[in-house]
Amino acid sequence: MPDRREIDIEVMRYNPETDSEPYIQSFRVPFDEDTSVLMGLQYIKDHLDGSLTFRWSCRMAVCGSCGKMVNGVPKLSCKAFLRDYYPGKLRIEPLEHFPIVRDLAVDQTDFLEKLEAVKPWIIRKDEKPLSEGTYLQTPEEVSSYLQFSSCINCLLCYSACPQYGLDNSFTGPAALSLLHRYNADSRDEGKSERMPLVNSEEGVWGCTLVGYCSEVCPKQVDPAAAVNRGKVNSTMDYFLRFLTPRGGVDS
Amino acid sequence: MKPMKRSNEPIFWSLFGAGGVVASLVAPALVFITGLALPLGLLGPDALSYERMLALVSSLPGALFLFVVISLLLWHTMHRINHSLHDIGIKAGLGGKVIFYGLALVGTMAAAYFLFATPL
Amino acid sequence: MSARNTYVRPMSGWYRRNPHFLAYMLRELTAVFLAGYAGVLLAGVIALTRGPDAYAAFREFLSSPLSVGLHVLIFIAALYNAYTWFKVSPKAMPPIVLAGRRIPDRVIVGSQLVACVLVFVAMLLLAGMS
Ligand code: SF4
Ligand code: FES
Repeated sequence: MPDRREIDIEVMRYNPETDSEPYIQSFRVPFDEDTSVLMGLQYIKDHLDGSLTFRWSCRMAVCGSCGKMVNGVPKLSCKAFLRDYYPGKLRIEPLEHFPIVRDLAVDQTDFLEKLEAVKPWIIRKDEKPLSEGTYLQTPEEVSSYLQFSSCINCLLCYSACPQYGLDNSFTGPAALSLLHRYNADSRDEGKSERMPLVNSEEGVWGCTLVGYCSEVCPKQVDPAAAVNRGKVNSTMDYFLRFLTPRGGVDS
Repeated sequence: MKPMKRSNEPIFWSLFGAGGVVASLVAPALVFITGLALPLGLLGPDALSYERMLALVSSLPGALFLFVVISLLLWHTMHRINHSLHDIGIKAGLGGKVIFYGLALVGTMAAAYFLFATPL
Repeated sequence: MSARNTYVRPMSGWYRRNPHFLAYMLRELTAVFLAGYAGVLLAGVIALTRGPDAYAAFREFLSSPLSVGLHVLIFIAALYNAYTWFKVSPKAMPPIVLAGRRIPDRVIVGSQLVACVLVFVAMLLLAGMS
């Protein structure tokens, strides 16, 4: 059954060489049951305006590069479908709270620096040699960090976080989730290296639990839970340092 | 990267959290009783009478209960109001902390004074 | 670092852009009403220490239409704040594991709601007894 409906897609455009600020341009795009928002944008680029700039790669909600604001909501454009917006229209904008480089592409440099700062890798005091085998974990130990390891760095949560938008010195949901993911891993011994960041104003204390990050996350990471468990950890660290020489930081 | 300065939010966040428990578990009932049920005559004739309330604040558990409720409600709400200023784009910084946490402290001291140090 | 001419969008009025943010601002606004209630309680305690006449005046105030109207608002604020508090509480506690299974968030939220109702009934009974 041929199904060729058409929908209006308004796209935010910005050319850094000629524009002083972004503007909206409207396109009419045919779609059917399976047309994703990303495919709609690709239709525009292929048939209507080849200069439209946006990022994507996997088309299957894995790579995390296709995030856009769709009608004001941060979405993976490959995981959102035009049919769900019909008979209304769409307004597609670059991810909120990030500087716009061109059209729908934003500058993620700030996030990448934050990601590095949380040391998102397993830190050991001394690595055991390969001959001694792998580090074993019980299912329970795995479950304490598993959900936080599903992050695909799509940055939807940053676009959902007004605190990051108001003050981008805040480390933000995904980076703090990754931080918590390693702190909660029984194989890791790097907690004391990460706690100074957690304990700072730029760490968990920039969060006021708006909670929208957890709702927009396409991977059920629940970054708000990671950040707020970080607050509990930081609070224990704050008070316990008076009791124990190592400041309540274990290992 | 510049060295990170430890925030003293844990102090205020702990008080905020404790106050949140009071605000969510106890406040709805208290507000309903003192602010609505009593004036609308839904309670018994003697409810919240001078004699009964005097007996309540003269007992240590009663006085402690009221102290905890008043003080923690203030720490809870002042913490939120302080952060709300930032949310609406007002950079109050240290001044905001001094004013709002100061208010909570003054309220706490007043509650302590009238509940524990005032002869009845 | 880069000389790129990027555009940063303004944040003004951000809380009007999304219903979720509006709900958040309402939650934060409940603090103003609850702070007011802490003041009412403190005023009641002070009136008590001043003697029967002062306390009678305090109760007179509680019975005024203005006070009842304000307390309707405070009550709504308290209920909304309680609801939002219970809803996010699982995020601020470590996962609770019972018999190898993680207790689902809705069980944690639900049991707190039940506790809140129990406290409500118990306090109403305590206050109503004469
Ligand atoms: S936490 Fe979720 S929303 Fe945030 S970057 Fe990771 S996958 Fe995306
Ligand atoms: S294109 Fe990879 S997540 Fe959408």
